[in-house]
This record gives sequence, C-alpha cells and structure tokens, in this order.
Amino acid sequence: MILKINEIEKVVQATIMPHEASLANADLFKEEMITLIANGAKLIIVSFENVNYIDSSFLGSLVVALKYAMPRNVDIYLVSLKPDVKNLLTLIRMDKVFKIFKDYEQAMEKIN
Amino acid sequence: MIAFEEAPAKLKKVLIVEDNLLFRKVISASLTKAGYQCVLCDSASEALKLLVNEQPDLILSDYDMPEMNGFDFRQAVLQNPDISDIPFVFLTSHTDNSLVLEGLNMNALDYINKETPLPVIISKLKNIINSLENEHIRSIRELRIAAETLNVKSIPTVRPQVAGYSIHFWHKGFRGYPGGDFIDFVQVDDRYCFAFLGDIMGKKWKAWFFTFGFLSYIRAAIRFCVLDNDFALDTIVQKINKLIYLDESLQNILSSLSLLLLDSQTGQIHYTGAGDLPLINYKTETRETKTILSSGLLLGLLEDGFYDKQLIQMSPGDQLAIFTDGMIDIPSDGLKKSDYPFFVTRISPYLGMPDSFELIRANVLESIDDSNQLDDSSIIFIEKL
Repeated sequence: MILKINEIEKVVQATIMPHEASLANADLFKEEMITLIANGAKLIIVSFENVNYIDSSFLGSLVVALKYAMPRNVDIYLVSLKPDVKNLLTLIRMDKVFKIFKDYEQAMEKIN
Repeated sequence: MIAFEEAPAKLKKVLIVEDNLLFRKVISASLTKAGYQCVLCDSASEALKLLVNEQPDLILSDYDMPEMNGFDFRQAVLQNPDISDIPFVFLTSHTDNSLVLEGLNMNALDYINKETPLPVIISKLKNIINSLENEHIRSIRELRIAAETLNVKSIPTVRPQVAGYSIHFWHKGFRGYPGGDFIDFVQVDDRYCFAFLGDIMGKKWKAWFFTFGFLSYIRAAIRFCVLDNDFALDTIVQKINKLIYLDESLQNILSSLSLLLLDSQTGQIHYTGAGDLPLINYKTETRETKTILSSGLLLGLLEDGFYDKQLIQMSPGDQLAIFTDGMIDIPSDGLKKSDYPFFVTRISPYLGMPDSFELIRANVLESIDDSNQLDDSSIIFIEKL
C-alpha cells in the first residue's frame, strides 16, 4: 500500500506515503487508484504532502487513473503539492486536467 | 587483512535484512569495504517498507527473525511483481538440509551458512552479483542488436543539414537503457524540415517499446499532411493525438511532443507543443533569454488536446533549445527534484556564443552521468545562421 486512505461517504482522501513518487511505486499507485474507483468512490482527493519528487512514470500512472475515472464520472483532485511538484505539473499543463487545491480543507469546501 | 578485488564500476546496492545488530554491522562493513553500498534493516517488515522506494541489486536475508521469518519475507517479496525479480540470498546459521532446500525452492540464488569465513561469504556474494551483471549486459546487448537489425531507431545518428540553420541534438538514456525519449527530423524539401522531440512517460524497456508505435504515428501524420500540403502544426498534432487516443493498445501510454517546422526561406520556426516543457529562446538583438510556452496537453490524454500554434521569428544568431524532463530532474542534497528554472540558469551563460552548443555540451551535458541522472535526457539545439 502506498496510499493512506480515509473514506467518508464515497469521498476518498488518499495520501501518497513515499517521498519519491517514481518508477518504483508508479504501478502500485495506479492499481490502488483503480481499485478505489472500482469500489465506488465518487471523488478521490490525492494528497502530495509527502512527495518531494515525481517522475514521468508516476505522472503516467496519475493520468491513467484519470482516464479510468472520467468515463465513470469520478473526479480526482490533487492537494498539498510542494512547490517543485506543482511547478512541474503546471509546466506540462496537468493543471488543466486535474483540479488542484491548496489542501484537503479547501478541496472539501469546494464540494460542500 | 584480506585484499579485495577492485570495486565494481557502478556502486551496487545490497539490502541486508538481519535482526542481530553485531552481525548486521560486521557484514555491512565487509561489503562496504568490498565496494558495495549497503542498506540495513533489522526486520522483514521494515525491509518490505523500504522496498516500496528502494530497488537494491541484491537482497541478503537472515532466516531466524522475530515477527516475520526469512521464508515469510521471501514469500512476501515473491508476491510483489515490482520486487520479485531482485536476486535473493539467504544468510543464516540454520543449515538443516530440509530448510536449505525449502529456501532454495523459493527461487533464492544461494543459501549461505553464517559460519562460513567472512572473506568466503563476501567472495560468494561478489560472484553472484558479477554473474548477474554480466548476464544483464549480455541481454541488453542482444536486444540492442535486435532493434538495430529491425532498423527501429528512436534517436537519429546524424545531424540534419538544413539551409540557414545549424542543428544539434544530444541524448542520454537513463542508466544507459534505451528509454522513452525520441528525436527525429523529417526533411520535406529544400525549404521545409520538421524536427520533433518527445518523451513517452515511463522508463527503460517498457517506454522504449512504445516509442516505435508513437514514432510511426508521428512520422505517418507528418507525411500525410505534407501530401495534403497542410503545414499547420496544430492540426497535425491534433491528428496524432486522436490516433493515439483511439488506439486501444496505447490506452495507458502518454507522451509529450514538441513539433517544429523550420522554414529556410523565411527564417521562421513554427511550433506546437503537447505537454512538453517550455522552449528556451535566445534573442541576439536584445541578448535576452525567454521561454516559449504552448498550451496543448500530453498526447493521448483527452480526445481534444487544445493545441495552439506559434511562430518563432529567428534572426541570425538566435537560438532555440527544446528538451525533455530528464534534463531538469536533478538530485539536491540527496533528494530528487525537478527544477526548470535551474536548468535555464545553467545553460543561459553559454547562449549567444559562437559555439554555444559545444559549451553547453562540455559544461552541462557531459556532467550528466549515472550518479545524477534520474530520467532519459534529450535536447535539440537550433541556431539561425
């Protein structure tokens, strides 16, 4: 398990535990995300609070999860991104595909 | 004192799982001295946690440990496809024949008795690591030969000659693997030349195999558009995007792309990007370095990738650098990070010189090696003559 999960009424808070989101854990992340979606989550809020570095393999998994989520009407939000990670996501325009929030609280405000 | 042979060229990492503090220290000190990097865990559960992030070259595990014993640990490793291939050796004082057999039956490479003299243990481990390394090198060589025979190249061998421009490129695969980066040039006629660079998300072989599917689509799309006399890059990239989006075999694969069209007659460069990093553009007139951002999404992400097109006016001496994200991934204080502005500051001092690319190569690119490279790195450098 690389995600720490907290689920409240089909809204899942998923915190990525490793500091490096990379090739070594990208597949596991993808599987855990797809399982969450398959189990009926309506919104997954992924927290990057521990992540210092993200590589292209992990970005690929993130996007695969999104592609799996979209036709099932499941939303994926990203929260608590450190500046380097956020800059990279913005540089490659991922901010246009994912909704990004400062933290869980801000993301929850948006849905309430 | 025991004289050890030369340390291997690249530091190999050994994970030692051993609950006995003294033995853990003794074995790691000997291995470190023999030129290996050691990672220590005092329990199997700690080792499993560590293996989420670490990929050692060899796991050396005790059998008798509290909570989870070595065999249960081995089973847990085997069940995780991400780490099940890591060579595994038992090192234990339990040498009952049936135990040894059980250990070896779990796909362990060896079962070493702790009573064995230390230098012999180290030699045994060294032989195991060396023979695995040789096998690995052989496999890579064979795959390379196969790929070359099939004439599938993701990086060209020679620089294209385009009137009015000087074009350089450079590529280094992650740890010497052919990876997911690709570069190509398609010369249409005396006036037009396409240049493109992309990065398939992922590393090593998996990404490399997919590059050929992508390259074929991109080359074909360019050729078709040339036949139709359609040189609008945004429509070309949108066509490529749609092909990839609809191709089920590429469903989980994404790629960035920077597509450029060099016009020798007007000195203009057309540009459309898909999830790529901003280009670096040096202007001779103002001696300023600026970045050029495109709006398009990664190829294959959504059916409509929102591609835009831009026209870069190149005056003599103006330069343009296009590169993949491996270039901006740098280790800092032992932590990995991605730093685009840092890369810009690193190459900026060499821009606007008569031999800018050679300077960048010597001062920036050649310092990229296995110890600091985190991903495939590629760059195309264009100068208007």
